[in-house]
Amino acid sequence: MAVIKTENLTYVYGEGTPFRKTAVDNVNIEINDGEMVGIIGHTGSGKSTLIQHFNGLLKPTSGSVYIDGERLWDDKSRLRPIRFKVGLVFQYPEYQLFEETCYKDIAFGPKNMGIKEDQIDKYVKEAARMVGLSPEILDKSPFELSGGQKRRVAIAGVMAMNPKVLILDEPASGLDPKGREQILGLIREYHEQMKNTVLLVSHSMEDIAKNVSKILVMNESKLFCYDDTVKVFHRSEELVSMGLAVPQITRVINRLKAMGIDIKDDVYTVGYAKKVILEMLEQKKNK
Amino acid sequence: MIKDITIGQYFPGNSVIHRMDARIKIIMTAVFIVMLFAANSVWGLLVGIAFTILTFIISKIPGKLMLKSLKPIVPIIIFTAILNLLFIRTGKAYFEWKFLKITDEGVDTAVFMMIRIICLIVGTSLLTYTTSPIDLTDAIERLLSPLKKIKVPVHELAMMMTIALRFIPTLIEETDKIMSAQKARGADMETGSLIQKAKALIPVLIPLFVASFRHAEELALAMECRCYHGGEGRTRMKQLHMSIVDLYGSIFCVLFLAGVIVINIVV
Repeated sequence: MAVIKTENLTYVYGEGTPFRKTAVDNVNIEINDGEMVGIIGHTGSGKSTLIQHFNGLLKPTSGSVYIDGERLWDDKSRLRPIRFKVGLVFQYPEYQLFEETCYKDIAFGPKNMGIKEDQIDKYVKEAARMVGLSPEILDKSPFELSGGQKRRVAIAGVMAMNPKVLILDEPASGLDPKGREQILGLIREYHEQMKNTVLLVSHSMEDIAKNVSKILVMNESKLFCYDDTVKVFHRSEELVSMGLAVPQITRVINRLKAMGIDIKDDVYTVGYAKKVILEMLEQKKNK
Repeated sequence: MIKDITIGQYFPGNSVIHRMDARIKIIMTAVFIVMLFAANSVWGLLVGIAFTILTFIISKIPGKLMLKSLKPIVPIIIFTAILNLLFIRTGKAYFEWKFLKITDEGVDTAVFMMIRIICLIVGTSLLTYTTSPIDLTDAIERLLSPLKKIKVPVHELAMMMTIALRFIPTLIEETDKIMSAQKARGADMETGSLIQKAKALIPVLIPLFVASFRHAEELALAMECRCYHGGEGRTRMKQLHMSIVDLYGSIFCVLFLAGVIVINIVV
């Protein structure tokens, strides 16, 4: 069943001013429960605006959004419960930390949900474990931590609400390569453990290719395509013309194919490419 | 909600008023304020209203936008009107009940004040709607530069103003983002008592405060890296230029002021 569904979703910024801009243009998608989806697109392609519709932060100019079959904005009082169902981690979430201790900050969401104290404690510790924060950090002030740690605290703050859908907007931006790997790794782990729906917004193809099974591509406010990772990377020429770089390894494989080497189509991670190429070399030797 | 704040916002355009020199516009605004308060008869005020409407039409600012900037001061207008109605006790009484006494003079002054304040807001909003903040602070700096002689740090003040104006949209955007993020975590900012609402602002204000300090530090560093050392010997990329339009504008404005003064003497 589709956990997120949009019908002709359109959103216009600054209606009636010279700054008027259509940020999301007639988007129709259905995202099924339990999937890990990557959302890619150029800066300003409308991805951030799109995801803010999924938990009712933005009201569509026209069209509708359904979460679990429930149409948003029909009943405004239902928006808060929806926000607990669809957790949204904004870009640079560490700038939203405000409590005296990390523990309290992570507990902010669950507390707003009206969960009992002992249950909150369980959720907070579980979320902290999930993002790899040690218990002694929980008593520290979030402002004492390093950038990467702050980011983890902020992500844990949303995970602690146990949302059915978790949306992360560029969770790895501004981190060093090792930090990126770690954050993306723990998000993947979270998805595998919780079996819930995860939407990952990024403009790094490498990050997306490694972690998700389906990709949603936004281009100039419109939905370009929503399909399996393999099929999306198959259209690498179109992606490049949009200004989106396909993973480096896909470019290598494409070049090999252009040189007349018969190689599989579905290669878009380095690990898999290594395996495929070694197999091919093995075959060649055996001939 | 937060995007509705329009006071002091620049509305790009290419009308005659947009093209005028910011210095002239500031002086014209000052003259306009004098004009409004000098007018002491219905005819004088009508001249002021005519001036307001004319400049408003010439500026091609959408009426909707102007109404939006008038909205927040409606309570102030009503409050002054009521004060004038109740506390002016001279003149012929229309209505008397215990300590309440509403007189014709009271009504006159109340209506006068209301019109004056509305014209004042429309006129001064026109200044900020048609002048980019940078031009505006430049003009203020130039207009105040004689004060440098008595050691007033004019350049520093203007720079502070420029920076403050420059950061209004940034901070509004930041507030919006933080509010969205906290709302996504279930923060409820719309319902509840006044105390609950004030408390609900803490998750927004603290990150905003931290962000302002961060911006300030980054900006200071960036300025230092580019060898900023204050106003001495600093030249401008964009010079303010007076043109024929400014001359016509000034004459237009002075004529209206003269009209008001003449009417005051005659009537």
